[in-house]
Amino acid sequence: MIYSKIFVAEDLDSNNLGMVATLKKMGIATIEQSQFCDNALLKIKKAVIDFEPFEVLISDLCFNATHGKKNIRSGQELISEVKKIQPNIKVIVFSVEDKQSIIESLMEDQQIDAYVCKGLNGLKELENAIEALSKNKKYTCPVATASLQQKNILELDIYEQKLLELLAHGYKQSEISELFKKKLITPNSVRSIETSISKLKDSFNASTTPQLVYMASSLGLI
Amino acid sequence: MFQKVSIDTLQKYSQDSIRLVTLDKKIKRIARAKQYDSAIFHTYRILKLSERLSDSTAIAKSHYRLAYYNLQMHKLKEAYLHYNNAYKCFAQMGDSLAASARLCSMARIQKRLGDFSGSRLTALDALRYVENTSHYEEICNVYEMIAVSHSEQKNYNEALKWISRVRVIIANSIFSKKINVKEIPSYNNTVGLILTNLGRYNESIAIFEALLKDSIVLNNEGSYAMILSNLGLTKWKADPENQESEKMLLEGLAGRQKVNSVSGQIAANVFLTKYYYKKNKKKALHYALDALENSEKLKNPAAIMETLDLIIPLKKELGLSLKEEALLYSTSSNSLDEVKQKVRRIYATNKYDHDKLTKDNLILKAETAKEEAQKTFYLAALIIAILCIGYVVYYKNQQKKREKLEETHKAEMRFSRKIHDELGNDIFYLMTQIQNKNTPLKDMEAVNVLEGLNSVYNKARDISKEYTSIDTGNKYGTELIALLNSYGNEKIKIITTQLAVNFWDKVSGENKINLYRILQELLTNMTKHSEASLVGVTFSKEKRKIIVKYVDNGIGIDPSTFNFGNGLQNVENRLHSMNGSINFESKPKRGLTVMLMFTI
Repeated sequence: MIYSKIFVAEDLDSNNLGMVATLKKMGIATIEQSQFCDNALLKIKKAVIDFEPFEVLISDLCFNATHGKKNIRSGQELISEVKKIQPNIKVIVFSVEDKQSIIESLMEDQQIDAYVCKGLNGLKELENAIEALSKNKKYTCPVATASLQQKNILELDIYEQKLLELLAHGYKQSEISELFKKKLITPNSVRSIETSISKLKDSFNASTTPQLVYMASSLGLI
Repeated sequence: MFQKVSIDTLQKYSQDSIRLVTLDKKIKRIARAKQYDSAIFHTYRILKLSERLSDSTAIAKSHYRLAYYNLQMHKLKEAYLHYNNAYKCFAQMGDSLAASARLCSMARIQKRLGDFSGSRLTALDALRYVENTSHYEEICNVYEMIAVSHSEQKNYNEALKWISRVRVIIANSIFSKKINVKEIPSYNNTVGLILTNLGRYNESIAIFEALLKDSIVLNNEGSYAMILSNLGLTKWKADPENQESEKMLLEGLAGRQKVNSVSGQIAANVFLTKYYYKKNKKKALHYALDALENSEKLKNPAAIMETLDLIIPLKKELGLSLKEEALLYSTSSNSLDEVKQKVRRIYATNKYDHDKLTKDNLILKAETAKEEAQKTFYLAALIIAILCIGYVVYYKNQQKKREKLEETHKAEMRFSRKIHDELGNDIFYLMTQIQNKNTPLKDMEAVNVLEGLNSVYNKARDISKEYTSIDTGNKYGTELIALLNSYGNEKIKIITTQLAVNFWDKVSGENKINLYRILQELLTNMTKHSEASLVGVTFSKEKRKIIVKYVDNGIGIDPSTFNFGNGLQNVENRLHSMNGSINFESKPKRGLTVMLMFTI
């Protein structure tokens, strides 16, 4: 099922327009919005009292409006306050922020349901997020996913470093296996060592083991 | 006329001096005849005369004599007073030996009055005059005095300590030359008595037996009798049933009677009373009464009371009347208290004078010391003040710098947010506008505009990222990895090595930020210019240094022609503030290696 009642808390009115248009296109009947967190919280509260609660909250993280007294200043605060009133509400964060630590904190600590980064495909991704949510799935847009998984970086652990080092010293796979067995380093079967090496080759885009060793040593990793 | 007067005075003066000499001779004669009353009378005249002549030696001597004659007449209070005056004169004259000797006599009087702690205090005062001098005999007397006072108060261990000092002096062949050989048996006798009191009978018996063979003792009936009594008592204490003690004690008494030593007879009688106390009450009472008679002869209330302490229970057990003794006890006790009080009073003022003298000296010393201390204090205060001012100026300067830095930091953050949130949102809005109006996107122009907007959007984000806040706490490691990750993509692989959880713990927050910004700069540079596909960034620790190695496989730079742009200039500046160093290594087309190093 697609949702019928969604609340949008978004700093810039102009952005709301684009979003509202997209949401309407998706066939969502009631879309309410606010530029201020305090106001948003009040409206959500009222809907709960009236037995007509919102099903989804789409929130930005930054609110820069300068007038009026503000108790709630950020999307993070708004989300925690809303969840106190209505714990079952689905939350999508829609923000320009793509920092890993912030996304992680929202997904892990605040248990939001989806994170979408604004950008070229932002609105399309927002649609994807709503669809995923309606199927009871969590969702992060590709940009957020890349940031979360840190796919672009490879952290060599001690095992891999040791492996590369031994290869650089001319050890054969069988010899490495024996040495690891002696030193109680696991995994130490020839097969698992072979798997580890081929995984490293993939990561480095190296076609042969000597190339892998050369790259690793020239990058100062061993 | 003036001359005449002065001649008169001179004549009078010489007359006085002559009278002094003749009187002196007369008194000596009278004293030898033991006519002490008369001797005292004439000595007063000498005292008056010498006071008129302001002859301090004669004054001191007169007081000394008056004290001695009074003591012979058992007038303890008067004796004490004159000893005290004599002491003061000698002390003023700087004759420390005589001063000490007079104090010692005073201590002896106090002991006779049963005021043992007072006696000890006076003896300790006496010690101050002769301590650290070579007047060993006087020192020994004082030590013995102190030991006896302790012994009388039953502090036998303390007593043994003091008398041992005497033994140390006697044992030293050089020191003992200064001591009258005739005195040595008396010291040993005291040692023996203290050992007896301590229950070390074998040792004290050995001492007494040796003394009885000493030629000096053998030539002195009085001391022979005394030592015999002491040996008898000790043997009896060691073994109440022995056969020798009775004979020794009786012989001791007889010996003392022979030399007519009253105080010796008291002691011998008291010993015999103790000896017969359990064996024969009547005999015991007989000797006790004898002791009392002698004590009364001496007009010594302390001795009277001591003997009464023996007589009263004896009479009680024998069922005799106690009326007389009770009366005597109370009068003696009263008179003893009275004399004690009076002597104490003399002693107190004496003590005050004495203390005042030493105190004055001490005050003088303290004042000079204080002046010097003050000088040092002022100097120290001046140095501290200068240091403080220096520190405050330095601190203020640093604070200003810090405040400035903080302000720029805040401003940077504000701009960063503005670019990120506002500009980013605005561009995003434009993109949505185009996308919404052209669905599906077919217009090539619209697509181009959209792509252009996207790159502007990304640039805006990159600019803002340079100034976002950084977690310098526990999450610094992850923050750093996220930074590296954000520069990687499908075309650029960034590789690093895993670090221990506590790797960054000891690095200061400031250095953490600096390192973050430096890596950011290097990586931005990399994406812009290097065309690299692989980047290795590794961190290692050596002693107290952190070493960071950046390697890429890009086109590299030619150091000779390389122009350090704004960004790399920033890197240098930052490293300078970290007291770190940086080294670029590159050949065209061979990639770039950057090594940087800083102290934790």
